[in-house]
Amino acid sequence: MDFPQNMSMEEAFALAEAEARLNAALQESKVRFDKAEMPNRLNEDWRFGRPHVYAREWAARFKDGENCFEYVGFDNSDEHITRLTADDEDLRQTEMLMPTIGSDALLALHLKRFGDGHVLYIEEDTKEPICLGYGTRWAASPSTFIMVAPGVKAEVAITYACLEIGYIFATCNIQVAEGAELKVRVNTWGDGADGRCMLITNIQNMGGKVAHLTEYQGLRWVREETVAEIYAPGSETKLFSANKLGENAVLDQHTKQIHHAGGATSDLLYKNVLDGNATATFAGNIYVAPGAHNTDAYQSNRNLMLSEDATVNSLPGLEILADKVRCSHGSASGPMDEEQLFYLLSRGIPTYEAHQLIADGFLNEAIEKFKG
Amino acid sequence: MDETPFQMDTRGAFSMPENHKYDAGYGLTEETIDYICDAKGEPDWLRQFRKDALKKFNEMPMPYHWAPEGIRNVDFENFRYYLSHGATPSRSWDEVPEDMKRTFERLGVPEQERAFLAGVDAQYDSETAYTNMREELQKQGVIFVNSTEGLKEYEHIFRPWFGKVIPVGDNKFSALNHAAFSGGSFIYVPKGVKLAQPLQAYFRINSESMGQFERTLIIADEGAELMYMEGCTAPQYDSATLHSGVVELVALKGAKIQYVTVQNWSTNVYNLVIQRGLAMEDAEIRWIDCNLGSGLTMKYPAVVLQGRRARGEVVSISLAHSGQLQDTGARMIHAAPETTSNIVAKSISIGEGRASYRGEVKVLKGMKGCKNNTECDALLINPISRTDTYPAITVNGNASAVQHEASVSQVDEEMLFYLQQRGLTRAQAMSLAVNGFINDLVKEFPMEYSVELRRLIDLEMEDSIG
Amino acid sequence: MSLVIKNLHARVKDGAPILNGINLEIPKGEVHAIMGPNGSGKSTLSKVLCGHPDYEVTAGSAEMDGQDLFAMSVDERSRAGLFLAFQYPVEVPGVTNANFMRAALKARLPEGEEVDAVSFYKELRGKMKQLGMDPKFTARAVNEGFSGGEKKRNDILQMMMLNPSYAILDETDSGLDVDALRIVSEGVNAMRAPFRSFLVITHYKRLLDYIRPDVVHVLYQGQIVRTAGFEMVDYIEQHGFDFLKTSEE
Repeated sequence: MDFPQNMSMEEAFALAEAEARLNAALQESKVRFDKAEMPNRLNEDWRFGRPHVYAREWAARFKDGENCFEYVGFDNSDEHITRLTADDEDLRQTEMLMPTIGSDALLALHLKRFGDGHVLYIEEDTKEPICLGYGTRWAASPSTFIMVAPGVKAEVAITYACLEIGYIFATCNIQVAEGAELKVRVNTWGDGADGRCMLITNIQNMGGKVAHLTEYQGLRWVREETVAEIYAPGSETKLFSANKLGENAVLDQHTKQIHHAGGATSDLLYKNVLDGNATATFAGNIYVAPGAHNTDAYQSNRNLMLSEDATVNSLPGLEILADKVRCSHGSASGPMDEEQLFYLLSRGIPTYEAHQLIADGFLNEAIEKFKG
Repeated sequence: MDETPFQMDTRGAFSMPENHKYDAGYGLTEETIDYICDAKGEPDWLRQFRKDALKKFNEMPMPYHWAPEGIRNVDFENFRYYLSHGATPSRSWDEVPEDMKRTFERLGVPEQERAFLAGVDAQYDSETAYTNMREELQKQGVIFVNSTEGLKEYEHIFRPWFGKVIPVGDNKFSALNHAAFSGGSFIYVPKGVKLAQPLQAYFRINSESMGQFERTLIIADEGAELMYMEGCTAPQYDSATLHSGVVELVALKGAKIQYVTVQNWSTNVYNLVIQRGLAMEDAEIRWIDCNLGSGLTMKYPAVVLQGRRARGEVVSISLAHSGQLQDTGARMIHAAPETTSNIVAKSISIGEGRASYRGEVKVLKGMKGCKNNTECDALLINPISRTDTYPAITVNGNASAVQHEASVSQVDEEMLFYLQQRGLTRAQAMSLAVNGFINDLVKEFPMEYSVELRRLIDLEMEDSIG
Repeated sequence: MSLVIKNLHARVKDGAPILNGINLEIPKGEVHAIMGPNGSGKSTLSKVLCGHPDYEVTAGSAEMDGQDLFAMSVDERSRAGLFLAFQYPVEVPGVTNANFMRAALKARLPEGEEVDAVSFYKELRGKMKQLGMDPKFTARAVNEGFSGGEKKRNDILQMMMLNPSYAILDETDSGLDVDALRIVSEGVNAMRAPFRSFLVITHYKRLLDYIRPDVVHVLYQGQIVRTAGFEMVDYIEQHGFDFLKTSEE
């Protein structure tokens, strides 16, 4: 190990210790990776995910050397943001314990390069959204930690840019304290080449209000795993997604709304417009634990099909083990409504523009609900 | 609350002493198959067919990656695969051996036959004890026999469709059935013949550790129509019993088949059944399915909509009390344009009971103008009851519409209070509420069945709440 | 200059015929009313003229100022000056009223030209005020969650913004209370001009008391069976449509 010239013994000792911890952590990640099974076709959480193609390519990319560049927009909120460091043992443990939906092995790959990313500890209301951004042309694996203190109102916007053939494997841990309000808008985009993204999000709601929106565009392949865990009565958790998918796009979204505590509400609305030979998979699950009585939980997946080559797989699941639960889910996939189209045409709007307006309006419904 | 395990159909909870001429013993091997084939006097092709299926069965994995946990307890070594008095059914109740005759009389089968049925097939353990059909139907060319007789006497009609809707290698349990099948019905309704009254099969398991593998094939020729009903009961034993039937339906152009099941096995029965129908152009297949009994049921009646404008429907009621998992649902495969399907499923979970809906709806590539509508509603009676919904929907293209709605609810306390204030007991009030919940579906069953269904639900409510 | 319909036959696609030879001429500047019992084909006529995909024309023609309507697509007919106020205006989720109107106006401008935002909003707000509509409606999705009366007003607002040469009002009075009926009618009357015609479809006299038609047609079993002046409205109000059946016998 090379120590800087003018370092004191204490500093050198601390640095050596940190490095030892990091090595141990890397070793632990490796063990976890070796133990975890790579996603395969018998794994129900990858039922339509074609893991034999995508997950393997992913693992291969992350085994190679990385070439990541990132940018961060601080706006007016420097005081809330710190850089994540590789030796932050607590946060590494947090990430280690993140629930995945069938991607344990892939998360372990991500943990091996733990250290990129940001920590947001928000103790005061934000006037404007805190903006974070990450981009890559090869491979990046940023982690974001957002913690909102009791009673604080905050907004965060995260952008991931998968340029050219860039792969981003991002994790996001969100913790919202009692009475806090948080809105997180995640925009992931590619330039239409072969950008791919995997986004694992864990929301822990301790009695606050959370709204989370994901939007994807211009990407070849996306896997989203969003787990919302609800720990306190009075919590409100809202999950949204709004996506326009074109030629060759594959979107594979998996969500869980886990009600550990009763007396809370969760609501999910995931909408897609599919064109070309796009494929969208939505596999959602509402789990209401034994004793989590008086839960209100909703889940809805809507798909607007614009092309005869598009495919939708929708698996909206419920598991209810408690009493006095109001719970429903719905899934609808179909073509554009003929009457809506006729109405727009009858006002002189040409067919192409009418299609665009209706498709945008279809997605807007989710975005507007996110905005509240 | 009553702690004893609940036995719903009090009429089914009895057993007769065992009195078998043929007993293949425990476990399924090539020797077992030879024993079954010898007892049934089957041709060589069928013997080989069964042995090939056995090989497949042994090779295929259990569906652990998606099936409910309880299926891990199924031990194929601990079942008896063939028990019978002989393979020739009687045409008259007078010729049926006394213990079997008394069994079916207690279950009300001959009485129902006289009252409203066009024909009856009564199976006792592995073989059919009695089959008969009204004479006028025979004259119209309708065939209604058990599967052994069907393969012997009507091989030219049976064999071309045998294993075509549900192939041997479809899954482990279809391979099992192809290897060990015995009993079940073979029905052929000729072109344009419409049966005014239903045909009925009654499946009775009497013996301990029995494995019952009935095999049913129903072919409705062009424009033909029929309704087929099956009922199932067994006495309660400590050891497990396996019921793993295969039912194939073929509705040719413009034909209409309705298949009604009221399943009320005792809770030591694993009820793992495969039911699938093939609907050709303009044909219609309806599964009307009611699962009340069995400790673990896995059953997802399917319709493959193979011809243009074919229609498929599943109406499903399931009731799970403590110690029961009803994993039921439906599958609809839209393999032709302009096909429509409808699924309505309602479940009730009582005590620690668990009812799950598992469904698959698929619109294949290039199919235009297809429509599916699915509605699943679950009612939870107690705070410890559980319900799940696991639908899987795949839609290809922009010319079909698929919609799925599900809800979970409880019995409205205000309503119970209102009814109790008017003098009803809590159990009576609950029973009224539950009957109200499934009322629109019960109407789909033939009258005689729906009366019985309501009676069973009343009994159930009294037992779990009263 | 007029809207000329000759021997128009139409049916529900692959279904029963509904219009069985309609002949009608509406010159510029006139207001015509069509009355008739339920199922006589009133709404079908309006939809067929606008090109609704559920219907097909089996014979006959319709010309608007010499242009063959049936040779044009739905949106081309609209841009050529034909407007339909729907009996049941459609909800378009997620598309705001303002964006919707801008898209419709933009479609009328030469390629590449944009609608001027300032004057657009000024005009929109002004017309909304005239119709007694809450300015917040501009930001709400088209007709979504609107009451029946609000939807009807919204359609009239669109008509005022798009300035059609021929406007068909399909049972615009249904679902309107007395005040709303008056406001909507005033809006229509303000638009009456020598270069514009109206075809008002209704069951009732009350709308026609406000929007006084020049000519009244009676539609029955898919044909125009009577054409008269305003006196016909009074007659129908008093006697209903029974006279049609007796004359048939």
